[in-house]
Amino acid sequence: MRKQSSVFSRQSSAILAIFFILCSLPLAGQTSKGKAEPVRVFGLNLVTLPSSSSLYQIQIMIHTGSADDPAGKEGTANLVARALIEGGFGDFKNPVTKEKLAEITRPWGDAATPQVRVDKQATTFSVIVPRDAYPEFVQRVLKPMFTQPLWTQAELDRLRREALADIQSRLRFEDEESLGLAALDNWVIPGLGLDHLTAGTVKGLGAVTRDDLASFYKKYYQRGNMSVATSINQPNQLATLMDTLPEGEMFARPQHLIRVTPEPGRHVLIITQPNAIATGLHLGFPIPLTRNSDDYWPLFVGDVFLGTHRDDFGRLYSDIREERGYNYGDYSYIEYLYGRPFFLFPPPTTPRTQQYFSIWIRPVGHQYTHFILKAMTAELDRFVKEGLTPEQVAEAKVKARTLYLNYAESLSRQLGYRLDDMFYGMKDNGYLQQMLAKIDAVAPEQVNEAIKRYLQSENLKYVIVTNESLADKLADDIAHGTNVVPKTLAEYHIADPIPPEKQQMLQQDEQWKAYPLNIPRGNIRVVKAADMFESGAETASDH
Amino acid sequence: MFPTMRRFLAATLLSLLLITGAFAQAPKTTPPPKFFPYAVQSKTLPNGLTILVIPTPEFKDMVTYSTAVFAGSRNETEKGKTGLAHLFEHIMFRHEYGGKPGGYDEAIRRMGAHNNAWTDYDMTFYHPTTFSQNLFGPIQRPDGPVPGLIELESSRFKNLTLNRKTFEVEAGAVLGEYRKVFSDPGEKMVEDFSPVAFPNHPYGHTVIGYREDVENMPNAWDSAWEFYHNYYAPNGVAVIAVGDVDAAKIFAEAEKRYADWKPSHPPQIPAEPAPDGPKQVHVKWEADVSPRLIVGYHTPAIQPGSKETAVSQILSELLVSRSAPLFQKLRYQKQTVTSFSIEGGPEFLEATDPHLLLLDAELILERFRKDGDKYLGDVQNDVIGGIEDLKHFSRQPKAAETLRVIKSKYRNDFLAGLDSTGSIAQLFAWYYRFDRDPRVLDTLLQGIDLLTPQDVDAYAAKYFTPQRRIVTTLWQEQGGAAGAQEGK
Repeated sequence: MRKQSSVFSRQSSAILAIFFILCSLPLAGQTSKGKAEPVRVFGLNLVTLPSSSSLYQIQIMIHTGSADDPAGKEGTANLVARALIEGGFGDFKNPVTKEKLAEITRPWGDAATPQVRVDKQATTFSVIVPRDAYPEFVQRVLKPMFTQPLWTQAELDRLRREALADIQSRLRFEDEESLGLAALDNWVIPGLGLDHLTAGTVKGLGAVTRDDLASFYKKYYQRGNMSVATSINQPNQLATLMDTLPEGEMFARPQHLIRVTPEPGRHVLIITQPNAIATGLHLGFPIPLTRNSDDYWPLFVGDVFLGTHRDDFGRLYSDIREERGYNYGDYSYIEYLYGRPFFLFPPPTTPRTQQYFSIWIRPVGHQYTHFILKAMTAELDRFVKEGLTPEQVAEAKVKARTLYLNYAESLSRQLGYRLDDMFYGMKDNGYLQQMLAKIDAVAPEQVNEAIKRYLQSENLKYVIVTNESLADKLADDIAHGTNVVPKTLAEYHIADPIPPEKQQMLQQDEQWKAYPLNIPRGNIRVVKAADMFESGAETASDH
Repeated sequence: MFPTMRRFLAATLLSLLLITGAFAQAPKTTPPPKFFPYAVQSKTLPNGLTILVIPTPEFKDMVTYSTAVFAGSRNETEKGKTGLAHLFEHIMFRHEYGGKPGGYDEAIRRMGAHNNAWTDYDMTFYHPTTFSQNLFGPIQRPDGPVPGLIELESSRFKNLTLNRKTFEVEAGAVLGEYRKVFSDPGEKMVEDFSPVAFPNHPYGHTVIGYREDVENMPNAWDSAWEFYHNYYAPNGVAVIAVGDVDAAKIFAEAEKRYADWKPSHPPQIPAEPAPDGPKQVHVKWEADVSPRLIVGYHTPAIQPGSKETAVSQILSELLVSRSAPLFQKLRYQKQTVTSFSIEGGPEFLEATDPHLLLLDAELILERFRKDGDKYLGDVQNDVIGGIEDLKHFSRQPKAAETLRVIKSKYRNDFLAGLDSTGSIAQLFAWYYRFDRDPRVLDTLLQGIDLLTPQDVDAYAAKYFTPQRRIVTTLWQEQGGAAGAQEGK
């Protein structure tokens, strides 16, 4: 149709228009440790990545999420976002119901119905709409949706029921891996509103009223508290887009700047399901590092070596799954990764001011739990102590570069990363823009320094999801160092004479087996899945 | 020369055609509207291999260099040897490049590429994505040079090297995949009704193959090579490169790498006689799942640009979308089903030979226990009624308006789907296999643009008949309704 011009360039010149920059102070002091920093305020930022497509893409991030849920009303942020789309908007005598919204957007394609992703500190709406339908879309959908929400009671009740069913049935009992990941995500950073599910708590969801939705919306859905990334680049159409957003100023949010240090010692939360047929293991601790730190890319390269997500490259994966066959995969992270266990690559638009390091061991046979708990800790310990050789860094850099191909593969992902950039105060030197050059520039000693600076193996929180019938004995075994069982030679399919590479593997097994965890029984808690996410207190840090 | 004016004229003519509904095709003097926003450049080598290049410079420095093999489970004509096409999808990654076990995989890892593949009834699609510069070797790495991606891909497709032991291990791994797939009731239903629907044609087995064949795969060494030589040949393959690339450079390199590849003479695929239904199949299930009902109709082969193919493209929107009357009746008004969709997705019926439209309903377990056959029969009648009602689609109020909205939606969904080099390569390959014409996507969308409500009537009258129907049910045995006939 049209000759494509060069866009999505990795140079910052691709940002053709920048409007409404009320304030874009960088997120100061990310690399300093342990202290509160000056207040960071957000202005509404806008970036455009022009595209010759006949469809416009629009993504709008509101700098709020479940961390802003009022106490006792956990789930408010999530319900507000969903009720904006599906809870009716516009003229209350002739509202745009969810059914009517579907009819309006149908000719424009599936992606013209707004989608929303809610996380702890960001809520992001996204939409794709044909250029020629844009004026009508703004007038009939986007503007009334953002400025005239109706908070229909029946829809609130429906959305609440769905959210409760998600927690009470799906998360607690139907998906062991999601349960463990969510529990660690809530437990690893105490306080700051980061310690409950984005979806809310059972008690909190039950307490949310229409008025709560309205006042949350009024407080946080303000132009000054939003970022926009879009492929629109006509100034008048951009102005129309800004006009759809509710007016309001930026405001301060000091609690996001408090740096969390890990709790001393090792602590274990064992969550039990009545029917778990295998045991999942997780560990994590907060790290004072986000994407805008100079140490980010060296640590990223190190983490690619240790545990690239859903990939056979990482050492954890190759040692635990490929060589020994304990499970389906083993990975490590220096940032929260939304969408696990399903997503193959991290999606953008879940930025956080406080990140944590974590290791995820997918379910293993129950009998190996204690052994694998030691193995994952010993491997973290070894990673911190030994670091990487220059050859390992070189290999990890090639792999890290390859991830760019997936992270940046689509315009919608590129727009999402631009929103994250604005969140992190990296607007002019964005994540994807820098990724390849930064990886290329990483030196082996930087990797090892960053690992030593941010990672450790002494102060850890573990989450274990297992079968109800085994939990108490497991807790005792961990405390007493008993019942540490690796696979037998027969289970490893090793026959005499043992080949040299297998002898090496068995030696490593012995080292893992002997690794001291030093976790007193008092640091181990057993909780039923049925009691999780009830009020948020299940993962409160009460040690 | 005057693109704006030309588009206007084309639009006017089109709307006239829609109103009268009298002409099948746009007049030859008017250039057809262009829907696919990229130029496609192609070159066919003397051995029959076509290389297609779709430059998309906005995906800067990236390329998906895909190889579409136009053979899938449809080409598994030998009895007892099903699943070979899918086995090759696995085996191709074990190519011993440079005579070294794991040589291909190691070269890809050192190069840095995202590498994967999938298998379907009619084709197998390999789609590595990497940085554009990696197409051409040698690529310098600290530990020595790596060959370019075009060289690596040409090497495994024209001259696969494999030892028997690796073959046997990989063949064993496929059994694990079989077990995973068939814990899904829907998959099992497809496996069971397929041979009833297609007693002669290879569509009678699923892509992964029969369990006993999959178990026996490690012994299929000779048949596997025969399959490779028949179908992994330049006349049965297309190379499709999408990304920030220079077409001339790719053509030159491809000529160098693929010219010595020898064409093949693949066997004929057995034809299926006209269906003689209605047929009924029942599947017993052990777990306590929701009862399932799949109502299928034999549909015609896909020919982009034809009226029938255009109708087939919008069937999911007419039948199972949230706005479809049948969907609303079952899900919202009568609330007799908890899920209503097309089994295998709308692309299931997009096949080289006549295939099936499958409407899949999940029923409510408690109600089925209480009302059994009566409840099931009621849902089945509603589904059949809803499908066969399309014979009178043009008499529905606002039929023309509904069709206009659906066309617009189709176009916009199509464009929104072109969001990465990988998705563009895949969408292009998916339809290119039907007519091997680089203009295929425009042809397909032009066909849809010209549809009239009467075309829907005609399609339904011809294909949604009892003779072409096959109904499959599944429930847990102690659950209830007796009396259904077992198909096998």
